[in-house]
Amino acid sequence: MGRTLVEKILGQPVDTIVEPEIDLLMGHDGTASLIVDRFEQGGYQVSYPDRVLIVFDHFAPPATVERANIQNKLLRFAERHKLPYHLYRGICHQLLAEDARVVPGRIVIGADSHTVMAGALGAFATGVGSTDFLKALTTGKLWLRVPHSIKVQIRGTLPPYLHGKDIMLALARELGDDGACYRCIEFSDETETGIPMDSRLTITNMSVDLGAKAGIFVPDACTEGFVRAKGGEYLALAPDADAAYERTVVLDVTSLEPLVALPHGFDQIVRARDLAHIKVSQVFIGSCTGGRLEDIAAAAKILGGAQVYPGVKAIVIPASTEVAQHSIQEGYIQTLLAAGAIVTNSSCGPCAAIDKGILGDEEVCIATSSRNFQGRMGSLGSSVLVSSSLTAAASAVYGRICDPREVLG
Amino acid sequence: MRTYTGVAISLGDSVNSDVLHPTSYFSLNANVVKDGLFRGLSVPRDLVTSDAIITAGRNFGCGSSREVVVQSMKLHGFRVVVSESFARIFYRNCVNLGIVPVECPGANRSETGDRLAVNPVEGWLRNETQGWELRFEPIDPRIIDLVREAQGDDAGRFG
Repeated sequence: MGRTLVEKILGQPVDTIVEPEIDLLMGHDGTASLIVDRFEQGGYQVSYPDRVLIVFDHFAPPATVERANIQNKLLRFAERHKLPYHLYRGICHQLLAEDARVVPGRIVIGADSHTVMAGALGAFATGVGSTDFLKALTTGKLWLRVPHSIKVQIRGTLPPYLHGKDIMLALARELGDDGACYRCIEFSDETETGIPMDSRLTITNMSVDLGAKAGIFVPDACTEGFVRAKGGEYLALAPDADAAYERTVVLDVTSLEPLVALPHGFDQIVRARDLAHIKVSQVFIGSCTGGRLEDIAAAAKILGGAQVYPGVKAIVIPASTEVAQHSIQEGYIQTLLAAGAIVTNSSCGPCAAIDKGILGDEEVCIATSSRNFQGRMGSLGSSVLVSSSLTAAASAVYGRICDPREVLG
Repeated sequence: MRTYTGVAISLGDSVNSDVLHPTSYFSLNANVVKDGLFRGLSVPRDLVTSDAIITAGRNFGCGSSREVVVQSMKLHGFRVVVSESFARIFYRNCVNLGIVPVECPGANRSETGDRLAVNPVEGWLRNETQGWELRFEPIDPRIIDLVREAQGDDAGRFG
Protein backbone atom coordinates (compact mmCIF):
# COMPACT_ATOMS: atom_id res chain seq x y z
CA MET A 1 0.00 0.00 0.00
CA GLY A 2 1.32 3.43 -0.95
CA ARG A 3 1.75 6.26 1.51
CA THR A 4 0.12 9.66 1.80
CA LEU A 5 2.20 12.78 2.32
CA VAL A 6 1.68 12.79 6.08
CA GLU A 7 2.54 9.09 6.35
CA LYS A 8 5.81 9.83 4.55
CA ILE A 9 6.70 12.79 6.75
CA LEU A 10 5.82 11.03 10.02
CA GLY A 11 7.37 7.80 8.75
CA GLN A 12 4.58 5.43 9.82
CA PRO A 13 1.19 4.24 8.54
CA VAL A 14 -2.09 5.77 9.75
CA ASP A 15 -3.19 5.31 13.36
CA THR A 16 0.36 4.58 14.56
CA ILE A 17 1.39 6.57 17.63
CA VAL A 18 4.69 8.26 16.82
CA GLU A 19 6.93 10.55 18.82
CA PRO A 20 8.98 12.42 16.23
CA GLU A 21 11.77 14.90 16.81
CA ILE A 22 10.46 18.41 16.32
CA ASP A 23 12.35 20.51 13.78
CA LEU A 24 10.87 23.80 14.94
CA LEU A 25 8.78 24.61 18.02
CA MET A 26 6.90 27.89 18.24
CA GLY A 27 5.16 29.56 21.16
CA HIS A 28 3.86 33.11 21.63
CA ASP A 29 2.96 35.61 24.34
CA GLY A 30 -0.59 34.25 24.59
CA THR A 31 0.42 30.60 25.04
CA ALA A 32 4.09 30.10 25.96
CA SER A 33 3.66 32.60 28.79
CA LEU A 34 1.45 30.07 30.59
CA ILE A 35 4.31 27.63 31.22
CA VAL A 36 7.06 29.95 32.45
CA ASP A 37 6.48 29.33 36.17
CA ARG A 38 5.85 25.61 35.71
CA PHE A 39 9.10 25.34 33.76
CA GLU A 40 11.18 27.17 36.35
CA GLN A 41 9.63 25.42 39.35
CA GLY A 42 9.96 22.02 37.69
CA GLY A 43 13.69 22.49 37.21
CA TYR A 44 13.45 21.67 33.50
CA GLN A 45 16.00 22.25 30.75
CA VAL A 46 15.28 23.26 27.16
CA SER A 47 16.33 20.33 25.01
CA TYR A 48 17.22 22.21 21.81
CA PRO A 49 17.08 26.01 22.23
CA ASP A 50 18.01 26.57 18.57
CA ARG A 51 14.90 24.67 17.45
CA VAL A 52 12.60 27.03 19.37
CA LEU A 53 11.04 30.29 18.23
CA ILE A 54 9.19 32.58 20.63
CA VAL A 55 7.02 35.24 19.00
CA PHE A 56 5.54 38.36 20.58
CA ASP A 57 2.53 39.07 18.39
CA HIS A 58 -0.68 38.86 20.42
CA PHE A 59 0.08 41.73 22.79
CA ALA A 60 2.14 43.66 20.30
CA PRO A 61 2.55 46.12 21.86
CA PRO A 62 0.58 45.51 25.09
CA ALA A 63 -2.55 47.57 25.77
CA THR A 64 -2.85 46.82 29.50
CA VAL A 65 -0.49 46.59 32.48
CA GLU A 66 -1.30 42.92 32.98
CA ARG A 67 -0.45 42.05 29.37
CA ALA A 68 2.77 44.06 29.59
CA ASN A 69 3.72 42.03 32.67
CA ILE A 70 2.83 38.73 30.96
CA GLN A 71 4.89 39.70 27.93
CA ASN A 72 7.87 40.79 30.03
CA LYS A 73 7.78 37.53 31.91
CA LEU A 74 8.06 35.58 28.64
CA LEU A 75 10.69 37.93 27.25
CA ARG A 76 12.89 37.42 30.34
CA PHE A 77 12.29 33.67 30.04
CA ALA A 78 13.44 33.65 26.41
CA GLU A 79 16.54 35.67 27.30
CA ARG A 80 17.37 33.50 30.32
CA HIS A 81 17.23 30.28 28.31
CA LYS A 82 18.72 31.74 25.13
CA LEU A 83 15.60 31.04 23.08
CA PRO A 84 15.48 32.85 19.73
CA TYR A 85 12.58 35.28 19.60
CA HIS A 86 10.87 37.84 17.39
CA LEU A 87 9.63 40.94 19.19
CA TYR A 88 7.00 42.83 17.17
CA ARG A 89 8.09 41.47 13.78
CA GLY A 90 4.70 40.08 12.83
CA ILE A 91 2.26 37.24 13.43
CA CYS A 92 3.88 33.94 14.42
CA HIS A 93 2.44 31.94 11.51
CA GLN A 94 3.57 34.46 8.92
CA LEU A 95 7.03 34.50 10.51
CA LEU A 96 7.14 30.68 10.26
CA ALA A 97 6.22 30.91 6.56
CA GLU A 98 9.06 33.40 6.07
CA ASP A 99 11.51 31.26 8.13
CA ALA A 100 14.07 29.42 5.95
CA ARG A 101 13.79 26.32 8.19
CA VAL A 102 10.13 25.73 7.32
CA VAL A 103 10.42 23.60 4.18
CA PRO A 104 8.93 20.36 2.79
CA GLY A 105 9.21 17.33 5.06
CA ARG A 106 9.91 19.21 8.30
CA ILE A 107 7.90 18.84 11.50
CA VAL A 108 6.68 22.11 12.99
CA ILE A 109 4.79 22.25 16.28
CA GLY A 110 3.28 25.48 17.56
CA ALA A 111 1.33 26.52 20.62
CA ASP A 112 -1.41 28.06 18.50
CA SER A 113 -4.15 26.40 16.48
CA HIS A 114 -3.29 28.11 13.19
CA THR A 115 0.22 26.57 13.15
CA VAL A 116 -1.22 24.28 10.46
CA MET A 117 -0.59 27.14 8.03
CA ALA A 118 3.05 26.06 7.54
CA GLY A 119 1.71 23.01 5.71
CA ALA A 120 1.43 25.20 2.59
CA LEU A 121 5.19 24.71 2.31
CA GLY A 122 4.97 20.91 2.45
CA ALA A 123 5.84 20.68 6.15
CA PHE A 124 3.83 18.74 8.72
CA ALA A 125 2.66 21.49 11.05
CA THR A 126 0.15 21.32 13.86
CA GLY A 127 -1.06 23.27 16.87
CA VAL A 128 -1.01 22.26 20.53
CA GLY A 129 -1.81 23.76 23.92
CA SER A 130 0.62 25.09 26.51
CA THR A 131 1.30 21.83 28.38
CA ASP A 132 2.19 20.07 25.13
CA PHE A 133 4.42 23.05 24.36
CA LEU A 134 6.13 22.56 27.73
CA LYS A 135 6.67 18.86 27.05
CA ALA A 136 8.01 19.58 23.57
CA LEU A 137 10.29 22.30 24.91
CA THR A 138 11.87 19.96 27.43
CA THR A 139 12.02 16.73 25.38
CA GLY A 140 12.25 17.96 21.79
CA LYS A 141 9.48 15.51 20.90
CA LEU A 142 5.69 15.20 20.87
CA TRP A 143 3.41 12.18 20.64
CA LEU A 144 1.03 12.16 17.69
CA ARG A 145 -1.27 9.70 16.02
CA VAL A 146 -0.60 9.50 12.28
CA PRO A 147 -3.81 10.89 10.78
CA HIS A 148 -5.99 9.61 7.98
CA SER A 149 -5.98 11.91 4.97
CA ILE A 150 -8.59 13.64 2.86
CA LYS A 151 -7.33 14.46 -0.62
CA VAL A 152 -8.43 17.79 -2.09
CA GLN A 153 -7.64 18.28 -5.76
CA ILE A 154 -8.07 21.90 -6.82
CA ARG A 155 -8.69 22.22 -10.55
CA GLY A 156 -9.76 24.69 -13.22
CA THR A 157 -8.74 28.30 -13.74
CA LEU A 158 -8.59 30.71 -10.81
CA PRO A 159 -10.37 33.96 -11.79
CA PRO A 160 -8.83 37.30 -10.67
CA TYR A 161 -11.74 37.99 -8.30
CA LEU A 162 -11.05 34.91 -6.20
CA HIS A 163 -8.47 34.20 -3.51
CA GLY A 164 -7.50 31.16 -1.46
CA LYS A 165 -10.10 32.27 1.08
CA ASP A 166 -12.92 31.64 -1.41
CA ILE A 167 -11.50 28.19 -2.19
CA MET A 168 -11.36 27.35 1.51
CA LEU A 169 -14.88 28.64 2.17
CA ALA A 170 -16.07 26.44 -0.70
CA LEU A 171 -14.34 23.47 0.96
CA ALA A 172 -15.85 24.40 4.34
CA ARG A 173 -19.28 24.38 2.69
CA GLU A 174 -18.50 20.89 1.40
CA LEU A 175 -16.96 19.36 4.54
CA GLY A 176 -18.48 21.37 7.42
CA ASP A 177 -16.68 22.82 10.44
CA ASP A 178 -15.50 19.43 11.69
CA GLY A 179 -15.42 17.54 8.40
CA ALA A 180 -11.66 17.11 8.67
CA CYS A 181 -11.54 16.46 12.44
CA TYR A 182 -8.29 14.64 13.34
CA ARG A 183 -7.50 14.28 9.59
CA CYS A 184 -4.78 15.64 7.38
CA ILE A 185 -6.09 17.55 4.37
CA GLU A 186 -3.70 16.88 1.51
CA PHE A 187 -4.10 19.60 -1.12
CA SER A 188 -2.83 19.37 -4.66
CA ASP A 189 -2.82 22.38 -6.94
CA GLU A 190 -3.93 21.04 -10.32
CA THR A 191 -5.22 24.37 -11.62
CA GLU A 192 -4.24 25.81 -15.01
CA THR A 193 -3.29 29.16 -13.49
CA GLY A 194 -1.66 27.93 -10.31
CA ILE A 195 -2.61 29.07 -6.83
CA PRO A 196 -0.16 31.68 -5.49
CA MET A 197 1.68 30.84 -2.25
CA ASP A 198 -0.10 33.60 -0.29
CA SER A 199 -3.45 31.99 -1.14
CA ARG A 200 -2.13 28.52 -0.32
CA LEU A 201 -1.11 29.78 3.11
CA THR A 202 -4.66 31.07 3.67
CA ILE A 203 -6.01 27.67 2.66
CA THR A 204 -3.81 25.60 4.98
CA ASN A 205 -4.26 28.17 7.76
CA MET A 206 -7.99 27.48 7.83
CA SER A 207 -7.67 23.69 7.69
CA VAL A 208 -7.84 23.74 11.50
CA ASP A 209 -11.17 25.52 11.22
CA LEU A 210 -12.48 22.37 9.54
CA GLY A 211 -11.00 20.39 12.45
CA ALA A 212 -7.86 19.17 10.70
CA LYS A 213 -4.67 18.12 12.47
CA ALA A 214 -2.73 19.30 9.43
CA GLY A 215 -3.26 20.74 5.96
CA ILE A 216 -0.43 20.09 3.54
CA PHE A 217 0.07 21.17 -0.06
CA VAL A 218 1.92 18.66 -2.22
CA PRO A 219 5.19 20.50 -2.92
CA ASP A 220 5.56 21.67 -6.53
CA ALA A 221 7.35 24.32 -8.60
CA CYS A 222 5.52 27.10 -6.70
CA THR A 223 6.72 25.66 -3.38
CA GLU A 224 10.25 25.26 -4.70
CA GLY A 225 10.40 28.86 -5.92
CA PHE A 226 9.12 30.20 -2.59
CA VAL A 227 11.40 28.02 -0.48
CA ARG A 228 14.54 28.79 -2.51
CA ALA A 229 13.77 32.52 -2.51
CA LYS A 230 13.84 32.54 1.31
CA GLY A 231 17.08 30.55 1.36
CA GLY A 232 15.50 27.26 2.40
CA GLU A 233 16.37 23.74 1.41
CA TYR A 234 13.87 22.26 -1.04
CA LEU A 235 12.90 18.61 -0.86
CA ALA A 236 10.72 17.07 -3.55
CA LEU A 237 8.07 15.10 -1.73
CA ALA A 238 4.97 13.46 -3.15
CA PRO A 239 2.37 10.97 -2.02
CA ASP A 240 2.41 7.54 -3.68
CA ALA A 241 -0.05 7.05 -6.52
CA ASP A 242 -1.73 4.18 -4.63
CA ALA A 243 -1.91 5.98 -1.26
CA ALA A 244 -5.17 5.42 0.62
CA TYR A 245 -7.46 8.38 1.28
CA GLU A 246 -10.53 8.43 3.44
CA ARG A 247 -12.19 10.72 0.94
CA THR A 248 -11.31 12.64 -2.21
CA VAL A 249 -12.80 16.02 -3.04
CA VAL A 250 -12.35 17.66 -6.44
CA LEU A 251 -12.86 21.43 -6.35
CA ASP A 252 -13.16 23.19 -9.69
CA VAL A 253 -12.58 26.88 -9.10
CA THR A 254 -13.44 28.12 -12.61
CA SER A 255 -17.07 28.92 -11.87
CA LEU A 256 -16.69 29.52 -8.14
CA GLU A 257 -18.05 32.86 -6.91
CA PRO A 258 -16.79 35.10 -4.08
CA LEU A 259 -18.08 33.60 -0.82
CA VAL A 260 -18.83 34.88 2.66
CA ALA A 261 -19.29 32.94 5.92
CA LEU A 262 -22.23 34.35 7.88
CA PRO A 263 -22.11 34.64 11.68
CA HIS A 264 -21.46 32.72 13.94
CA GLY A 265 -19.81 29.69 12.36
CA PHE A 266 -19.32 27.92 9.05
CA ASP A 267 -22.80 26.50 8.69
CA GLN A 268 -23.95 29.29 6.37
CA ILE A 269 -21.52 30.07 3.56
CA VAL A 270 -23.15 32.05 0.77
CA ARG A 271 -22.31 34.12 -2.30
CA ALA A 272 -21.18 37.69 -1.59
CA ARG A 273 -23.56 38.99 -4.26
CA ASP A 274 -26.54 37.65 -2.31
CA LEU A 275 -25.65 39.78 0.74
CA ALA A 276 -25.77 43.32 -0.69
CA HIS A 277 -28.46 44.16 1.88
CA ILE A 278 -26.04 43.71 4.82
CA LYS A 279 -24.43 46.97 5.95
CA VAL A 280 -21.05 46.86 7.68
CA SER A 281 -19.66 49.13 10.39
CA GLN A 282 -16.10 47.82 10.16
CA VAL A 283 -13.81 46.19 7.64
CA PHE A 284 -10.76 44.29 8.89
CA ILE A 285 -8.07 43.22 6.46
CA GLY A 286 -5.36 41.41 8.37
CA SER A 287 -4.55 38.39 10.59
CA CYS A 288 -2.52 35.25 9.91
CA THR A 289 -5.29 34.17 7.54
CA GLY A 290 -5.68 37.29 5.43
CA GLY A 291 -2.94 39.89 5.95
CA ARG A 292 -0.33 38.89 3.39
CA LEU A 293 1.06 40.91 0.46
CA GLU A 294 -1.63 39.43 -1.81
CA ASP A 295 -4.28 40.78 0.57
CA ILE A 296 -2.77 44.24 0.99
CA ALA A 297 -2.28 44.46 -2.80
CA ALA A 298 -5.92 43.48 -3.37
CA ALA A 299 -7.12 46.07 -0.88
CA ALA A 300 -4.99 48.76 -2.53
CA LYS A 301 -6.23 47.79 -5.99
CA ILE A 302 -9.87 48.04 -4.96
CA LEU A 303 -9.53 51.13 -2.76
CA GLY A 304 -7.19 52.93 -5.18
CA GLY A 305 -8.88 56.16 -6.25
CA ALA A 306 -11.91 55.33 -4.10
CA GLN A 307 -12.85 56.26 -0.57
CA VAL A 308 -13.90 54.14 2.39
CA TYR A 309 -17.66 54.55 2.79
CA PRO A 310 -18.58 57.30 5.28
CA GLY A 311 -18.79 56.03 8.85
CA VAL A 312 -17.12 52.70 8.11
CA LYS A 313 -13.99 51.86 10.10
CA ALA A 314 -11.43 50.26 7.79
CA ILE A 315 -8.46 48.63 9.52
CA VAL A 316 -5.56 47.09 7.62
CA ILE A 317 -2.82 45.10 9.40
CA PRO A 318 0.05 43.60 7.39
CA ALA A 319 0.83 40.14 8.78
CA SER A 320 4.53 40.83 9.27
CA THR A 321 7.09 43.60 9.12
CA GLU A 322 8.33 42.09 5.85
CA VAL A 323 4.81 42.29 4.39
CA ALA A 324 4.51 45.86 5.67
CA GLN A 325 7.83 46.87 4.09
CA HIS A 326 6.89 45.36 0.74
CA SER A 327 3.52 47.08 0.96
CA ILE A 328 5.23 50.42 1.50
CA GLN A 329 7.66 49.82 -1.38
CA GLU A 330 4.77 48.97 -3.71
CA GLY A 331 2.85 52.09 -2.66
CA TYR A 332 -0.09 50.10 -1.26
CA ILE A 333 0.04 51.74 2.16
CA GLN A 334 -0.08 55.22 0.66
CA THR A 335 -3.10 54.20 -1.43
CA LEU A 336 -4.91 52.72 1.56
CA LEU A 337 -4.25 55.75 3.74
CA ALA A 338 -5.41 58.08 0.96
CA ALA A 339 -8.63 56.07 0.74
CA GLY A 340 -9.33 56.62 4.43
CA ALA A 341 -8.24 53.26 5.86
CA ILE A 342 -5.89 53.04 8.81
CA VAL A 343 -2.85 50.78 8.78
CA THR A 344 -1.56 49.53 12.12
CA ASN A 345 1.56 47.61 13.11
CA SER A 346 1.95 43.91 12.38
CA SER A 347 0.20 41.90 15.09
CA CYS A 348 -2.87 39.72 15.63
CA GLY A 349 -4.87 42.92 16.12
CA PRO A 350 -8.59 42.60 16.84
CA CYS A 351 -8.92 39.06 15.45
CA ALA A 352 -9.40 37.41 18.84
CA ALA A 353 -10.77 40.53 20.56
CA ILE A 354 -7.32 41.29 21.95
CA ASP A 355 -6.14 44.53 20.45
CA LYS A 356 -7.33 47.72 18.78
CA GLY A 357 -10.33 47.31 16.51
CA ILE A 358 -12.64 45.61 19.03
CA LEU A 359 -16.32 45.60 18.02
CA GLY A 360 -19.05 47.23 20.09
CA ASP A 361 -22.62 46.02 20.54
CA GLU A 362 -24.53 45.36 17.31
CA GLU A 363 -21.54 46.12 15.10
CA VAL A 364 -21.12 44.17 11.87
CA CYS A 365 -17.59 43.53 10.62
CA ILE A 366 -16.44 41.86 7.44
CA ALA A 367 -13.03 40.36 8.12
CA THR A 368 -10.33 38.47 6.28
CA SER A 369 -9.49 36.48 9.40
CA SER A 370 -10.73 32.91 9.79
CA ARG A 371 -13.14 32.91 12.71
CA ASN A 372 -16.58 34.41 13.06
CA PHE A 373 -17.59 32.89 16.40
CA GLN A 374 -19.95 34.95 18.52
CA GLY A 375 -17.93 37.65 20.29
CA ARG A 376 -14.76 36.69 18.43
CA MET A 377 -13.83 40.33 17.79
CA GLY A 378 -15.50 41.95 20.79
CA SER A 379 -19.06 42.28 22.05
CA LEU A 380 -21.19 39.14 22.15
CA GLY A 381 -23.75 41.34 20.41
CA SER A 382 -21.51 41.99 17.41
CA SER A 383 -21.24 39.94 14.22
CA VAL A 384 -18.30 38.93 12.06
CA LEU A 385 -18.55 37.83 8.44
CA VAL A 386 -15.51 36.15 6.92
CA SER A 387 -14.44 36.76 3.32
CA SER A 388 -11.45 37.30 1.04
CA SER A 389 -9.60 40.60 1.12
CA LEU A 390 -11.07 41.43 -2.31
CA THR A 391 -14.62 41.10 -0.97
CA ALA A 392 -13.74 42.90 2.27
CA ALA A 393 -12.15 45.85 0.43
CA ALA A 394 -15.09 46.12 -1.98
CA SER A 395 -17.40 46.15 1.04
CA ALA A 396 -15.36 49.02 2.51
CA VAL A 397 -16.09 51.10 -0.61
CA TYR A 398 -19.85 50.54 -0.50
CA GLY A 399 -20.43 50.21 3.25
CA ARG A 400 -22.22 46.93 2.64
CA ILE A 401 -21.26 43.41 1.61
CA CYS A 402 -20.06 43.70 -1.96
CA ASP A 403 -18.99 41.16 -4.56
CA PRO A 404 -15.56 42.39 -5.75
CA ARG A 405 -16.68 42.06 -9.38
CA GLU A 406 -18.87 45.14 -8.80
CA VAL A 407 -15.67 47.14 -8.32
CA LEU A 408 -13.25 45.27 -10.57
CA GLY A 409 -15.73 45.24 -13.44
CA MET B 1 -10.82 4.72 36.89
CA ARG B 2 -13.91 5.33 38.92
CA THR B 3 -17.49 6.23 38.05
CA TYR B 4 -18.09 9.97 38.03
CA THR B 5 -21.46 11.34 39.12
CA GLY B 6 -22.74 14.88 38.81
CA VAL B 7 -25.10 17.39 37.24
CA ALA B 8 -25.20 17.99 33.48
CA ILE B 9 -24.38 21.29 31.85
CA SER B 10 -25.70 20.65 28.36
CA LEU B 11 -24.05 22.50 25.47
CA GLY B 12 -24.63 22.24 21.73
CA ASP B 13 -22.55 21.45 18.63
CA SER B 14 -19.25 23.19 17.79
CA VAL B 15 -19.14 25.14 21.05
CA ASN B 16 -15.89 27.04 20.61
CA SER B 17 -13.17 28.13 22.99
CA ASP B 18 -14.01 31.83 22.53
CA VAL B 19 -17.50 31.46 24.01
CA LEU B 20 -16.35 28.90 26.58
CA HIS B 21 -13.78 31.39 27.84
CA PRO B 22 -13.72 34.85 26.19
CA THR B 23 -10.22 36.29 25.62
CA SER B 24 -10.96 39.16 28.00
CA TYR B 25 -10.47 36.57 30.76
CA PHE B 26 -7.03 35.53 29.48
CA SER B 27 -4.71 35.96 32.45
CA LEU B 28 -2.04 34.39 34.62
CA ASN B 29 -4.26 35.19 37.63
CA ALA B 30 -6.17 32.06 38.66
CA ASN B 31 -9.19 34.00 39.93
CA VAL B 32 -9.65 35.80 36.61
CA VAL B 33 -9.18 32.58 34.62
CA LYS B 34 -11.65 30.71 36.84
CA ASP B 35 -14.25 33.46 36.55
CA GLY B 36 -14.07 33.41 32.73
CA LEU B 37 -15.65 29.99 32.25
CA PHE B 38 -18.84 30.02 30.13
CA ARG B 39 -18.88 33.85 29.98
CA GLY B 40 -19.87 33.73 26.31
CA LEU B 41 -22.75 31.34 27.01
CA SER B 42 -25.93 31.31 29.09
CA VAL B 43 -25.07 28.73 31.75
CA PRO B 44 -26.69 29.05 35.20
CA ARG B 45 -23.82 30.07 37.50
CA ASP B 46 -25.13 27.97 40.40
CA LEU B 47 -24.43 24.83 38.35
CA VAL B 48 -20.79 25.76 37.76
CA THR B 49 -19.39 23.66 40.61
CA SER B 50 -17.06 20.69 41.02
CA ASP B 51 -20.17 18.55 40.56
CA ALA B 52 -20.71 19.69 36.98
CA ILE B 53 -20.36 17.36 33.99
CA ILE B 54 -20.42 19.05 30.58
CA THR B 55 -22.34 17.12 27.94
CA ALA B 56 -21.87 18.54 24.49
CA GLY B 57 -22.53 17.81 20.84
CA ARG B 58 -19.96 17.32 18.12
CA ASN B 59 -16.68 19.23 17.73
CA PHE B 60 -16.56 20.45 21.32
CA GLY B 61 -13.89 23.04 22.13
CA CYS B 62 -13.13 24.01 18.53
CA GLY B 63 -11.09 27.11 17.74
CA SER B 64 -8.24 28.53 19.77
CA SER B 65 -5.60 26.40 21.52
CA ARG B 66 -5.70 28.66 24.62
CA GLU B 67 -5.21 26.32 27.55
CA VAL B 68 -6.82 28.77 30.00
CA VAL B 69 -10.16 27.37 28.75
CA VAL B 70 -9.44 23.95 30.25
CA GLN B 71 -7.56 25.52 33.19
CA SER B 72 -10.78 27.32 34.13
CA MET B 73 -12.68 23.99 34.13
CA LYS B 74 -9.93 22.49 36.27
CA LEU B 75 -10.11 25.42 38.68
CA HIS B 76 -13.83 24.80 39.12
CA GLY B 77 -13.04 21.16 39.92
CA PHE B 78 -14.46 19.57 36.73
CA ARG B 79 -13.23 15.96 36.43
CA VAL B 80 -14.83 14.73 33.22
CA VAL B 81 -16.27 16.19 30.00
CA VAL B 82 -18.63 14.12 27.84
CA SER B 83 -19.08 15.04 24.20
CA GLU B 84 -20.12 13.43 20.92
CA SER B 85 -16.74 14.46 19.51
CA PHE B 86 -13.92 16.82 20.43
CA ALA B 87 -11.75 19.29 18.59
CA ARG B 88 -8.27 17.78 18.84
CA ILE B 89 -6.32 20.50 20.65
CA PHE B 90 -9.07 20.84 23.26
CA TYR B 91 -8.98 17.05 23.73
CA ARG B 92 -5.22 17.11 24.27
CA ASN B 93 -5.52 20.03 26.69
CA CYS B 94 -8.08 18.07 28.77
CA VAL B 95 -5.80 15.04 28.87
CA ASN B 96 -2.78 17.17 29.76
CA LEU B 97 -4.58 18.86 32.65
CA GLY B 98 -6.09 15.66 34.04
CA ILE B 99 -9.71 16.08 32.92
CA VAL B 100 -11.14 12.93 31.33
CA PRO B 101 -12.51 13.61 27.82
CA VAL B 102 -15.21 11.02 27.07
CA GLU B 103 -16.44 10.57 23.51
CA CYS B 104 -20.01 9.35 23.64
CA PRO B 105 -22.37 9.54 20.63
CA GLY B 106 -25.80 10.68 21.82
CA ALA B 107 -24.42 12.45 24.92
CA ASN B 108 -26.14 15.61 23.78
CA ARG B 109 -29.58 14.17 24.68
CA SER B 110 -28.94 15.24 28.27
CA GLU B 111 -30.41 18.49 29.49
CA THR B 112 -28.88 20.98 31.86
CA GLY B 113 -29.63 19.93 35.44
CA ASP B 114 -29.96 16.17 34.72
CA ARG B 115 -28.26 13.79 37.16
CA LEU B 116 -25.53 11.81 35.38
CA ALA B 117 -23.16 8.94 36.05
CA VAL B 118 -20.36 8.04 33.66
CA ASN B 119 -17.63 5.42 33.66
CA PRO B 120 -14.94 6.13 31.04
CA VAL B 121 -13.24 2.74 31.34
CA GLU B 122 -16.35 0.57 31.35
CA GLY B 123 -17.84 2.75 28.61
CA TRP B 124 -21.27 3.81 29.83
CA LEU B 125 -23.17 7.03 30.47
CA ARG B 126 -26.32 6.91 32.58
CA ASN B 127 -28.84 9.76 32.71
CA GLU B 128 -30.63 9.14 36.00
CA THR B 129 -33.12 11.97 35.49
CA GLN B 130 -34.28 10.82 32.05
CA GLY B 131 -33.76 7.13 32.81
CA TRP B 132 -31.54 5.99 29.95
CA GLU B 133 -28.07 4.55 29.51
CA LEU B 134 -25.70 4.83 26.55
CA ARG B 135 -22.71 2.64 25.80
CA PHE B 136 -19.60 4.02 24.15
CA GLU B 137 -16.18 2.71 23.19
CA PRO B 138 -14.09 2.73 26.39
CA ILE B 139 -11.38 5.32 26.51
CA ASP B 140 -7.96 4.24 25.16
CA PRO B 141 -5.79 2.95 28.06
CA ARG B 142 -2.91 5.08 26.79
CA ILE B 143 -5.06 8.17 27.20
CA ILE B 144 -6.06 7.05 30.71
CA ASP B 145 -2.36 6.75 31.59
CA LEU B 146 -1.71 10.30 30.35
CA VAL B 147 -4.69 11.66 32.31
CA ARG B 148 -3.48 9.89 35.47
CA GLU B 149 0.02 11.23 34.95
CA ALA B 150 -1.39 14.75 34.61
CA GLN B 151 -3.54 14.33 37.72
CA GLY B 152 -0.42 13.22 39.60
CA ASP B 153 1.53 16.21 38.35
CA ASP B 154 -1.33 18.54 39.25
CA ALA B 155 -0.53 20.07 35.90
CA GLY B 156 -3.46 22.45 35.99
CA ARG B 157 -2.08 24.42 38.89
CA PHE B 158 -0.93 27.98 38.65
CA GLY B 159 2.24 29.29 40.11
